Amino acid sequence: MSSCHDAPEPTPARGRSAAAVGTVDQAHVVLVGNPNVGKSTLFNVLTGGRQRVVNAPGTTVELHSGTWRGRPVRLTDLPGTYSLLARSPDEQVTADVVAGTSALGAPDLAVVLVEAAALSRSLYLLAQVAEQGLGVVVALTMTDVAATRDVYVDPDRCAEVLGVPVVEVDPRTGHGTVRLAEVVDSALAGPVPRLAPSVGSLDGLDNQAAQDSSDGPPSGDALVSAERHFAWVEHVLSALAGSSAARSAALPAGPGVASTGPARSHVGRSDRLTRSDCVDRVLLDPWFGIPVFLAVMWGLFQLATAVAAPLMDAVDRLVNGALADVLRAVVGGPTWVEGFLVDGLLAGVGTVLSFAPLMALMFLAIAVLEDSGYLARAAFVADRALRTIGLDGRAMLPLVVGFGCNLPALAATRTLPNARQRLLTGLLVPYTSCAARLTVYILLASVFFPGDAGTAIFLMYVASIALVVVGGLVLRATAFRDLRREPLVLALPAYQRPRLRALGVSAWVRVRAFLTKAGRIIVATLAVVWVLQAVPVTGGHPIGDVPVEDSAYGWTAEAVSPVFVPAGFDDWHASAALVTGFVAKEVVVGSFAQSYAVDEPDDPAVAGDLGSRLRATFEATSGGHAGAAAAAFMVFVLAYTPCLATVAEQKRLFGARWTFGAVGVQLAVAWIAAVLVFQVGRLL
Amino acid sequence: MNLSSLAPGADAHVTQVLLDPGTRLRLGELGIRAGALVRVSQRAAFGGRVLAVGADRFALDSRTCGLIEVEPLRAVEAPGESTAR
Repeated sequence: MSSCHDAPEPTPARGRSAAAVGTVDQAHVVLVGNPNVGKSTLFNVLTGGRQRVVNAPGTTVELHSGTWRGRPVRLTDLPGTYSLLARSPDEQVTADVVAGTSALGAPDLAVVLVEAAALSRSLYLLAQVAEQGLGVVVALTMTDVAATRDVYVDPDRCAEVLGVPVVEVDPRTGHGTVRLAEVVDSALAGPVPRLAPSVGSLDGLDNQAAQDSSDGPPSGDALVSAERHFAWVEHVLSALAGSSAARSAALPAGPGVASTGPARSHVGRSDRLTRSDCVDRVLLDPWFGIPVFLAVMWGLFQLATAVAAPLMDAVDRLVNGALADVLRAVVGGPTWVEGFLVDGLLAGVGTVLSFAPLMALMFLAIAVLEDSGYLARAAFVADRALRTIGLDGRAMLPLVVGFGCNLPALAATRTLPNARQRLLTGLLVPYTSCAARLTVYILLASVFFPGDAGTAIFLMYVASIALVVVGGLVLRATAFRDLRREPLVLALPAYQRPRLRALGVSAWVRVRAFLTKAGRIIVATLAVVWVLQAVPVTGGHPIGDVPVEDSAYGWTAEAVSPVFVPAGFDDWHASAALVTGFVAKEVVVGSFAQSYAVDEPDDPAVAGDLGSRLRATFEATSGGHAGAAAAAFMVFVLAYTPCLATVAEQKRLFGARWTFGAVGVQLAVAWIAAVLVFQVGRLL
Repeated sequence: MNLSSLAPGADAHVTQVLLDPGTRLRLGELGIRAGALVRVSQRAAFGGRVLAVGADRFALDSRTCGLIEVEPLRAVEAPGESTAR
């Protein structure tokens, strides 16, 4: 075996010919790295806004793809992973793309992000990537964090030892990205950069090991492969430690720090108290950590409700007020044309746009938590509680946000590193009772349980938590049996000050994806709802000016209502309100008022005429058990489909099969629960 | 002894990881493998621990800590205990 100090001559390609690198015009470069290494931030800096979010072929794993600014290079940000021996669908996507077996095709070059403060595990991944025959360029990140831990890495010395270009970059400031672009250009145009002959210990490894399925125990090949990579990492670190490149006080250091064997694989000292360690003394304290976590969750909840509401109202007023007036003044022709354009399409666009501030706030808040390093701590604190129902600790964030609004809660599922965990959590989010449903509870509880309205509403939230817990247990025992109960081993990144500019780009890209993809579904569905409300099914009404009961919408509600006989509310007013509630739960109360042709109460707790009408209807449909019927209706509102925007976002994230399957199950669960509540309630 | 028994601030060598092979491999990839030098840097709620492995920090739940056997390098007095010998 050659020495690691051998000249870093380009090595012959393994698996791909050097010519296969292709031309600069067609280059496809992938970013590979550990989680929290700054990969996505670097991607945002390199591509700016010229990127799009797509699902990896055949999966629900999101990939960000874009064009490298000023270069004809397609750049793909692969899911973060510690290893190409995948243990989750996300990691498998990275392994497949690097191996060239993905439908995306074989990339031409990999930029592997190596974290200076975690050289050992970063180099391990580098070795795996290089072994796949892919040319590599190393982007050395987090040298500032490493310095606080007494770890100093010289990129030039690293390049000498590794035999591939090494560029120090700071994705958060953009420092080094120009040099990185030049190096990548050279690598694409010239000889393929391969790890130096000094790492020839990798030769002869079975590439198949890196493509092992994430199911089942690792194969013998995988274990052998890992052992060789461990040895190679040791070899490289020894070479670095032997020079002045990596000056770690831990190699060797005082008592308790070994100078030989695997301990040397860790550049840095475990006995040095860092600033992050000091902060963790407080934030992870057994007693203080939980209140801090709850306070952060409360802050997020407030953001999704109290902070976002006025912004959403402002957008709604702008679109459905000023813009609608302008459109009405401009549009001519029959009334129904104006109605369709203004009350159908524009109202739909307004609904989508009004969610934009909410989504932007939530994406930003999550990104700040992630970038600061606290998100991993929050997952650690919440892990024990969620582990009992088979969820990852990181699921706490979307579930808490869901009690404010289900839509940003789906956005928060992106913090889960495993696609199956994201899906499982995304399916449970609709059972968290969002603030919009609260207006329905208040209305019905104040009308039917005036003396115990508070208790009735409180019980709805208890029922909501019960649905999440039972739903989680049932899903884990059925459709998610494959989801292993993984031990919690979570890398805790160093605390850092979030860089809002980089986070802003990331939030914008995600909001844009929501607006363009989920938005289309929302606008189309709202247009269909308008048509149903505008088309008369009885004579005497012009299109676009029809009382609800004489419209196709009212007819549909009438046709559906017999389904609710066992639940005690088989009345078209109720079923029409539920259909409207599918669009948005906020308008259920308004729909009741519209169908009864009474004023919508300003305060749902003071229902006025609407309360009298509701009481009369529920008394009639329930055979004198109006309270039980109202309770059943509340339970149905809690458990049936979330709002249209949430369903559209679910479809974007998880695909049509899971989304529509979930909608069917939610309707069935809601119906069964409502029937149970009514049938038991009428006996009390 | 296992990680759960190791006092915060104590250094130890990992001697054995008694988890399933897949998890054992992943821990090894993260640097937590037989022979590695580790230190419990923090005790957290519900028996969890923050483990320092070189410059890295990992959060581990209590069950996982109980399945990682270690050999302490030096004794660390538990808080509140007398240091008299």
